[in-house]
Order: sequence, then C-alpha cells, then structure tokens
Amino acid sequence: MIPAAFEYHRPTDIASALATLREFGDEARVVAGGHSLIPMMKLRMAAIGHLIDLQDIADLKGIRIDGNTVRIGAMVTQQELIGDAALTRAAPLLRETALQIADPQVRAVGTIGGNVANGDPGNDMPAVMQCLDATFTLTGPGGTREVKARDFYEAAYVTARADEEILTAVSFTVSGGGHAYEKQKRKIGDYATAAAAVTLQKDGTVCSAASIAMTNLSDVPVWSKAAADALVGTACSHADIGNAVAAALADIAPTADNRGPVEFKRHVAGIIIRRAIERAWSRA
Amino acid sequence: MKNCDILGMGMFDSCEIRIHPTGSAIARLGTISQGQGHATTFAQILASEIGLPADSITIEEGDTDTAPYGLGTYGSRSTPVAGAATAMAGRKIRAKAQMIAAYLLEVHDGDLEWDVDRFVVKGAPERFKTMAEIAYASYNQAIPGLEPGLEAVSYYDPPNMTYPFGAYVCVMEIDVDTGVSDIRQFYALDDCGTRINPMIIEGQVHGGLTEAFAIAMGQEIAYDEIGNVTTGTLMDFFLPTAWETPHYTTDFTETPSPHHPIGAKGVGESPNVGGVPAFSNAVHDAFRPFGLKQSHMPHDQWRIWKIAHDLGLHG
Amino acid sequence: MKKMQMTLTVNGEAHELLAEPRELLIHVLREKLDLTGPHIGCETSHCGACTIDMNGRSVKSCTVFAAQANGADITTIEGLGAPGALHPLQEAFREHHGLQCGFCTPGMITRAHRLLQENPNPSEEDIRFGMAGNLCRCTGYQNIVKAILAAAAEMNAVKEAAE
Repeated sequence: MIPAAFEYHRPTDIASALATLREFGDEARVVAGGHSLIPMMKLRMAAIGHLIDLQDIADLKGIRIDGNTVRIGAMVTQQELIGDAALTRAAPLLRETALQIADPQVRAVGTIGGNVANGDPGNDMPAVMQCLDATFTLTGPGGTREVKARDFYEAAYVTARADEEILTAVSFTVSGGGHAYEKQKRKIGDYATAAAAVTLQKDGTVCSAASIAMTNLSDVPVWSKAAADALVGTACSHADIGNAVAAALADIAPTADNRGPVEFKRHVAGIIIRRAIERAWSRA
Repeated sequence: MKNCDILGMGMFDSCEIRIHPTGSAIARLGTISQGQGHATTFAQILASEIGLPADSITIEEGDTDTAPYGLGTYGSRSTPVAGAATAMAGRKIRAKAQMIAAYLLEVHDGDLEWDVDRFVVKGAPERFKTMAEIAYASYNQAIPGLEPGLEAVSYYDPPNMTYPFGAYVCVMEIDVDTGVSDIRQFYALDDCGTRINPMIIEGQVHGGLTEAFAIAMGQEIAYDEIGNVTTGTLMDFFLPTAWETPHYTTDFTETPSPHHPIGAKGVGESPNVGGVPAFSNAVHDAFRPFGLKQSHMPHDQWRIWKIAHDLGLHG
Repeated sequence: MKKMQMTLTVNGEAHELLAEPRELLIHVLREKLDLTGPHIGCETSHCGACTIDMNGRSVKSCTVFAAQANGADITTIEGLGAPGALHPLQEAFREHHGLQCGFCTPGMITRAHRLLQENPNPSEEDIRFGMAGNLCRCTGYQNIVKAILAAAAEMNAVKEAAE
C-alpha cells in the first residue's frame, strides 16, 4: 500500500513548523511517530499534501521534572517514558500505562504528543492525562496557550487544537498517593475493551483525593468527577467503590464493536474501574 | 484392499531418486514444503534406506518441469504418502545396488546382507561394498545383465489412511466477570507413528496447537449487516502473539502405521484437530457445574462473559 | 512528484539515494538497496516482518517513510550475520528450530537482537512480552523463545570470556 504523493518537510524549530502549517493550511499535517497517521495515508483515508515531520525539533523533546511539576515534550516516545527512571519515580502511572500500549516496535516510535493530540478514543494517554489533570501546551501563530486535558476532547478525532496549532508538550503536577491503569484488551496491540486510570490520596484511613478517567468507553476520554467525589471522604470500602463505579458508569456511552456489545462493555467497565480503584488504593 | 481415491482418482504421491557417481543424491517429489521441513525429513528417510548421509541428499520439490507427478501437500499427507514413495524408491535403489555389489564382490546376491550403508558378505564382514562405492561402479563399470546408472522412481498409492492420534489436556482459568481466559497448562501427546525427526514433529505440534488456540479462543470472520468483513485486520482477527500463546508440554507415543513402509503417519494437523476441542471443552468444563449445556466458538471474551451472564453468574 | 535526495547508513554503509517522500522505508530497503531480508507482511504495522533497527530502536519499516529515515543509522538482518558467519541469534534459531516457513524470521531476529541489548538476561516472560510485536503462524513461538534464551546465554558467555 502506497499513499498518495505529498511533499515532505522537516523543520528544526517550532516557528518554521508553524509557518509551513500556515502556508499550506488544510493540506498540511504534522507527523510524530506516524503509526496512526501513516496507515491512514496508506489506506488513502487521509489525504495530505504536505507532511511536516517534527523529529528534528529539539524543543519538543525531553522530560523535565521540576519539584512537583512534570513537563513532557510532545515527541517523547512511549519507549522513552517507560525507560525514564526519574519519571517513573515521580509519576509511575505513565510507565504502567505506556507498557499497555501497542507493542515494542510501536512504542519505540509512538509519542505521547501523538497519542494525546490525535483524539482517537482508543488511545490510552488521554484518559491518563485527564486523570492527572494535565495541561496541554498548544503553540500557534498567535503564540502559546494552555488547555486542560479535561477540556481538550470534543468528539472522536475532534479536539480543542486549532488546525494551525501544534501540541508541543504535556505537563502536570505530581500529587503522590496511589495509582493504577487497568486495561482489558483482546491481545497485544489491541485497543481497550475498557480501561481506567485512577489516582488516589490517602489521609490516615480515609481517601482524601481521587481522580478517575476512562478510555474507549465513549467517543472521547471520560473524566468522571462524580466517581471521584464518591470516594473522597470514604475508607474505600467495597460499597464505597461500588458507588464510585456506579457514578463512573453513568458518565460513559460505549458503542458495540468486535469486542462485544454495549451491555458487555458496561459490565466490564465496572469491573475494570473497580480493580483500578482497588489497586490504586492498595498503593496509596 | 481398495485404494484411497477421490472420485476414482488415486491419492498417490511420488519420489524420483538419482544417485550420482560421487555418492551424493537428489530426490524429487510431488509435494512441496511450506516450512514443514520436508528437505530434512525426506533426506532422513532416504538416508535410512540407502545409507548415504542425509546432508549429501538434495530434496527438490515444487518444480513442475522436473518433479514427478503427485497430488501435493495438504491434509498431513506428505510423509504418509510422498514419504512412503521415498522409502519405496529407496528400496528399489538398494535392490539394484545389491545386484551390483554381488557382481563386484563375486558372490551370489543372496549371500549379501545390508548393514547401515553397505552390503556385507555374510560371514565375511571384511568383504563389503559401500553405497558410495556401488554408486561409482554403477556408472563407471560395465556390469553384465544390468543397465548402467542408479535411479528409481516410485508412485505410492496408499492402501489406507494413516491414523495419527493424540490426547490434549488444557487447564484454563476463567474470569467470569470480564470473560478473560488464561491457559495455565497445556499438555499434548501425539502419536504420529515412527518418528523421523523429533524436533520437526515438536515444531509442527506447537504450531498446530497455536492455531487450535486461535480458532477456539478468538478467530472469526465477522460481517456487518451489509456483508463487509469487520475482522479484516490483525488487530480484529485473532492471530495470537507470543504473549497470549501458552507454553506447551509435549509428549508422544509411537504406534507405527501397519501399512506405511516405515510406519510413519502425519502430524501437521492432529494437534490442530484435537487442540480445538481441548481449549473449547476447558471453557465448557468450567461452566458445566453451573448448568451450561452448549456454547459456541470462538470463546472470545464477550462470548465467555455471555455464558456467565446467561447462567446468572453476575448476580 | 519530485524525488528527494537522502542518505541512509545501512549495515554500516552510507547510501545516497533518490526517493519520493511517499516511498516507505521497507520499499527503499528492498527495492533500491536490494536488502530483501526485511519482509512485507501485513503492511499495517501489526505483524513485524519488516522490523529493522533504526537509531538503536526496533522499528516497523512498513510504517516509516524513507524520508523520515533520512540520516538514520539502520541495521537489517543482512547486517547481523552472513552465511558462514551467523549471528548467535541466527545460529540459535537454526539449532533450536526457531523457524519453519521463515517469513517472520528476519523480523524476529532483528527484534530479538535489540531486545537482548535492552535486556541481556530476559526471562521467558520478558521474551514473550518483548517479542509481542512480531507475529508467527508456524512455530507457536515456543522454539523462538527457546532460541532467544539460548542466544542470550551464548552472547553473555562470550561477553564474560572477553572481560
């Protein structure tokens, strides 16, 4: 399978990438790892006249941990996330998630920026970013703006990023406590049947803060405030977790596919959310 | 005994052997290997029959200009049929070689006995001719009453099926809440008769079991309501990776086929045929105490979940 | 479409070549550089038959444009060993019957080569997880795992002896 012809650009700084994006408008797309975009180009489902490869832009690389603040450049690969010991100490949820994405070769090129910017409801990092209350940095012709992950996703493949903007980094504040990313899939390389990201803080025997987000259970990632509220102030008993699960399930709208019908997905989602909460609580 | 046939067409396969004067050989067959290791297996069969080392025997398949006619490779028939033809053609070579050796050793051919790679004069073990020496002589010495050369062809039409058999035991853990299954142990015993190359046999068993695992636990060509295939990618069509595939414990018994010249039977499909119900019955067995009467493959996560759900196991 | 000039270092040798931006790396390797070891399997980044090593990472070359690889350092199966001088992994795959039809084998070995650099002492589980981007329909993987374990032991022994 060979895609339609395009012109290739490899800028070395964000300004030139933005200039090219602006010059060619709708015809231009940026590419990071390319493992979502290139198959679509090969299938001729994405027609791109100008491909802007971001690999040489140094500003998009690197993981910076500054006190409680973590900033990850958009071009950091899943493999780099997995291998970064300091990041894993600061935010172990990212490694746990990245290991459940695709396969080794895809993780070697797939980036966090691509994963969150594409707007594919099957991607895992968007829910994780919502769980962590991360901020996405978008750089466009008018400068830089920040959008909360929780406000970024509008519909499948539709996000708050404007066509002439590039998502350049994700950042979040580390809050410690327990974490878990629980994902059910059919095999390595599959998208989630249901997946949930959870972070919890424990104060004595009581849950003092919680965040719960879900993957592939709606056309966008779903952060459930109600689910988190159901846990805060409780001792995360079986019944408390049941309340949180019920609240989370009220916020999703899964659709049937080869993985199974809606009834199945809702049930599995409940189990996966419960397990994620239990695991996070055991680590809190 | 009636020969096996399809609508009157014989189920033969064939082997044509040429021994070179140098003591190497080429055998051409009507079958073709897609990775089953024919070049190794057939060379070993022939080496055992004619006493030339297997690595000096070239196996050639798949060239319709040069191969003898045959029905080809399918249905685990290559060793049962073409393998038999190879042994039979090898025996023709050996019979002629015995005549040549008798002439060279100046004895009656009935006074010779075969010993691994040579004909030896009975009672006089120091008097012998190796197959390599005989091959050289067959082309380079006029032997009264015999044509020069050392070649043979055999078309083998099997008088019956070979009946490989096996037993497969699967120990499976099922998460009734999610439909996720995990193979804890899998034991396979296969009987393919005379075992020519144990490593190749084991490889065939592993592959057959893995395909059985995929068929039982996930493979499906599904269609949408207007007839489009919806499982057209390797993400949706269950071709398991090393991660999902269980580790197998393999074992064997050896019950030779009574009518195959060396007692060999097929092996490619038996673990595949027996493996599917082993995986499938493990699912069934897990739910039998809860009243399951019947369930359908593939036992993917949602179908297993559905069994549990219909049996009221989700409360 | 205009062709681009690019430089690829493949198996230690620098190549200057012209290719359209839309040409995939696997096609350039196979058709322009005549390196037919990496295979084209699914073409959708699932099967791993096209796996190569690019700048020290295992990559599926059916899902990379040659233009993206411009300037990269690439190793294919041809760069790992040669007839008569097999890489320990190639030797181990042969010894332990780690291949049957052989279609997945170049990708398997190229991936395993990188895996053993990422983790020189992998367990069976590590290997099964680390090789999960490469599909095989013949072997059931068991002898592939066995071959990689054997090659790891052999490579570690050679390394120890050298130290």
